Amino acid sequence: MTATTTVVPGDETSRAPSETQWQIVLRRFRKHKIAVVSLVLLVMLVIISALAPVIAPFPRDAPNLQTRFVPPFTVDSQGNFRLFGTDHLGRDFYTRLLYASRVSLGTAFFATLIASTIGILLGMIAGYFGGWVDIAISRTLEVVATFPTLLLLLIMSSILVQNINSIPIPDFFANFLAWIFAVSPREARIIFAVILVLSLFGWTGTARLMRGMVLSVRENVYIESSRALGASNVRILGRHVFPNALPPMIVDFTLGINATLVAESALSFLGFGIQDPTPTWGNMLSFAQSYMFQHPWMPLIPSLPILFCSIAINYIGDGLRDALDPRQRG
Amino acid sequence: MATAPETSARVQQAVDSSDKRILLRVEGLKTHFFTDEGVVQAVDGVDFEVKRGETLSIVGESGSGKSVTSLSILRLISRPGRVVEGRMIFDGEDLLAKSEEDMRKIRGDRISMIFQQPTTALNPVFRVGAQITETLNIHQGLTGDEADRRCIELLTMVGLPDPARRMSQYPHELSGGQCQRVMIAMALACTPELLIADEPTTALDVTIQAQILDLMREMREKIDTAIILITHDMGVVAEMADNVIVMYAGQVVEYASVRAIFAEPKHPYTVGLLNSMPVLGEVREELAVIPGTVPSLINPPTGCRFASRCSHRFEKCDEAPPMVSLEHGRKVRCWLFE
Amino acid sequence: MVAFLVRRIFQMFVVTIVAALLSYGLLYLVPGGPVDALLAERQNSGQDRINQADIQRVQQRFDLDVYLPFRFTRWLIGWPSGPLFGSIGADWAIGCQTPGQVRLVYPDGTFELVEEGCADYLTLAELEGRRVSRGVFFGDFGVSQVILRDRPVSDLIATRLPYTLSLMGASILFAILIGVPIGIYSAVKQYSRFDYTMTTIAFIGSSLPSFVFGIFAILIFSILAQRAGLPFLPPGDAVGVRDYTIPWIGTVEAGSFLDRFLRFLMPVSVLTFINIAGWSRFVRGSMLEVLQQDYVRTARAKGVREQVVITKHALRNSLIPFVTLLAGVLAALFGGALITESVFNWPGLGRLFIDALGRNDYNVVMALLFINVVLLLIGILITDILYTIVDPRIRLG
Repeated sequence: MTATTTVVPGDETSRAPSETQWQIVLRRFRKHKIAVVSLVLLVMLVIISALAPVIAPFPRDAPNLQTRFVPPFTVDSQGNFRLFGTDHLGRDFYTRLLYASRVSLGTAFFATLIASTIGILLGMIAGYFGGWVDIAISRTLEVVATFPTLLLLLIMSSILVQNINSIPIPDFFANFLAWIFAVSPREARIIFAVILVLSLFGWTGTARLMRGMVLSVRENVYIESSRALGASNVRILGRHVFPNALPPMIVDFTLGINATLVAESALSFLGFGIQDPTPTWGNMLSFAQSYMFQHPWMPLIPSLPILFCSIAINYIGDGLRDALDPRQRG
Repeated sequence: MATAPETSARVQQAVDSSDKRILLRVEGLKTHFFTDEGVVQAVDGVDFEVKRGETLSIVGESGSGKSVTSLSILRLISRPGRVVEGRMIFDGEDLLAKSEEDMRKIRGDRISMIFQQPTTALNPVFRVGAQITETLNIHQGLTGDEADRRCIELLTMVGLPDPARRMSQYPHELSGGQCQRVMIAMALACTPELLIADEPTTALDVTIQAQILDLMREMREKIDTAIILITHDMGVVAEMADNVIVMYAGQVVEYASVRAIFAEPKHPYTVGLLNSMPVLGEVREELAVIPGTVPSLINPPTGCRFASRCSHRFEKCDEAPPMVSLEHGRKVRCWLFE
Repeated sequence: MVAFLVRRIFQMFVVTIVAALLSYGLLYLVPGGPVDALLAERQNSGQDRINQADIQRVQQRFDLDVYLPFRFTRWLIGWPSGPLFGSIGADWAIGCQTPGQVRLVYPDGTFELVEEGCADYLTLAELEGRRVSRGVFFGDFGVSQVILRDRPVSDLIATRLPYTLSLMGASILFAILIGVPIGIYSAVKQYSRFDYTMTTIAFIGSSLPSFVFGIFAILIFSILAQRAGLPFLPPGDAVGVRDYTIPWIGTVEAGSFLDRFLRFLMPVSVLTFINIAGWSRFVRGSMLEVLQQDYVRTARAKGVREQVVITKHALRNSLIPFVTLLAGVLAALFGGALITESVFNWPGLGRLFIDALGRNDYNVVMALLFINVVLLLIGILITDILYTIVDPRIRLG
């Protein structure tokens, strides 16, 4: 679950000759102070959310009508200290926020992972093989680009979530997801549906980027020479095309996580994504908005992590771009 | 070609008074680029003179600072670069001391420039004619039909067929050679005293290269303009130049007349440059290549900058060599001639 | 040009049909669908148990008893609406009103009822008199099924459209008027304090999710301002229902111009800010790229005044990629801002979409989706044509 730490290109294996290249990247990245601070804080958030079941002081969803709307940093009527207060059902905000971080960050990470994988594969295939394969994939990209993404995202998510029981998800897989997200298998099915929907719309940009990268890398002479030496297509793609296209992909992946995180929060906020009682930053904020007139502190609790993450991830992406591809600085 | 009367008078007067023979004198020019990685000393103490009507060629590999030198003269170095030191006396006045507005009036009028990539040097969204008449409008106040007539004259002069039609075309509708002719027409529109040509033929086909060089020679006769010709092609130097400056790693390493340079190159780098040039009718086993690359200009070596690639290297080369004056006004920056 | 237009419009036609098919299938092919959802809704609201007649009524209303291909054509072009040419094929089956039942008896004696075949076919004649729209393709989106029951969807859209148009129009206009100059100035003064401040604000602005931004605006300008006794803005809706008093301004009459204006202020500001962040970053990036081009150097070497270099030579080129953004503007103008409209309870089309989706009013959802796709396609067509105007290098073809 160390979602964003994997994007640090420090420990890339089997690239012995260019080992110094990654050192250069690391040095350049360290220069971007805000990005480094963002990364450290984000890693801390990831660790905390991974430990949610261990460090959460209260049960995740145990409604308690005696302790509704307890403000942050106070002791409730039953003598419990509430770090972030309680919500409209008397549930502990801090506890729910811990679980929500796990759900929101995890959903964003996996959805982006799937989307990027699809995008990278399709982009590679289109760019490398060209011909009718390229035409087919490019046309699909163009058509998908004319879709009003947010509307379709909402429609698909709404339909899937409403009919969650009729979507065939193997039990072992649901259980596995439940374990990852620290939720019940039933909740895990909904999370999976949302991941599917989010990844369905997230791959086009990556595919376009990858296709362009492959086209430019393919022009390089050494591809020609390694084909002359009898290398297979897969080998050429894996050994030459992919490593060269990797830097922009890393940046794309990082920024993709942010886009997905915001999209997931928006879905949940509008009520078409992951549903209460599974906590996400988005649906917590949605409830908080209803009570913000009486309790103005309420929307702050779930919105601050959304704010922090989207700014932090963008800065990390910025820092990575500077470090990996200095020419692209804007 | 009808030269504007006041310009020819100016040129006439300059030629008459011998103390004004020198058009441009560059002294101790230093242009540095302040990047994240460090200060790039792209031009580091360059001196030279251009006389009226002279063609001076600046040669060197890419990264030797020749283009930066030329842009420094027009004060067109943009951030993060800056001219940090030096004087550039043009017609008795220091260009570096001029206000931006005065400098702007000189650009395109008294000093103009043509560039390496003619196709990208023209603005893609404006018609060719409009780009030429803009210069005429700025410096000579010509507008409307008057400007158009002059524009057609100029295009005829640079040998573009059907100039009236060309005027209303966009740059992408012209070939590279045609674009360069347009650039030359634009540069010569105000009969400048100094024309800086930065690798004017590098991006063109060989046959077109010859045509453009012919055109430039022809124009030099007609307008009597001094030319600073920047190139890495010794063949172009041989065809065009009166005198030659060889630059290496931001410094001038040799100055001589074109005959002297080809007859008897002094600096080991110049020797290397000439040896790496194919000679027609002469069969060589292989072209000599100067081993190594230009040193980093962020922390250039304290001694001779060419030392690491030089076959004549000795202990003295750890110290920076001075510019040594030889006979016939030749100069060379090398300990071998001390 | 004519050949291009013909080809492009044909392409658009195909894409529109495909998009319609996809979105129609999306709603009706998934398990469950409107019947289940509607029945569940009725059950939840504590009404009587549902009987076969209820189901048939719902099926009729949604055309669910018509076979899918014909259901789709009825929705798309309003055909068939009865026997062909008035009389042909009156008894042709076009759907199934009651599925047939087969009793499956297991060896152990238990049995199960399985639907198979059709017990009662729907004929073309029976379609006659049933309400059918003229077809989405001809601009008739049918009737609303939940929100404004049995009223035409187009009425519903028409009442919401002015709110979306004013909100989006104003915010896009302000964003361009403010964002483009900021972007240009930032690029020209790259690395200056102004540039640094603006890029940071734009950076944060474009990474902020709009709903968080909207909620913060309400928190600060409505709730906290009101609690502090300062002048505040009403937090949502387009028109008030009760009069209210704002310090220093006085009583605001519900429904007055001032009331509407005050309510307009916050959503439009939020959208404008978000758009400015986007536009200024875009313009800055494109301007920076253009400023590095050879022809800008040529212009300077010609002695063109720096101001003219920027506003004529560079700007003209940097606006070329700007045109692509315009493709989305048209759709945005009519599509509204889903999230911002929701946060501020602004009764525009975006909010309508959310409501319709949440309450399973599928005709409304489909209509909005369809309109959006068509507008996006028209936007792309306009962009392509604009490109040839802005960039002489590009030809239609």
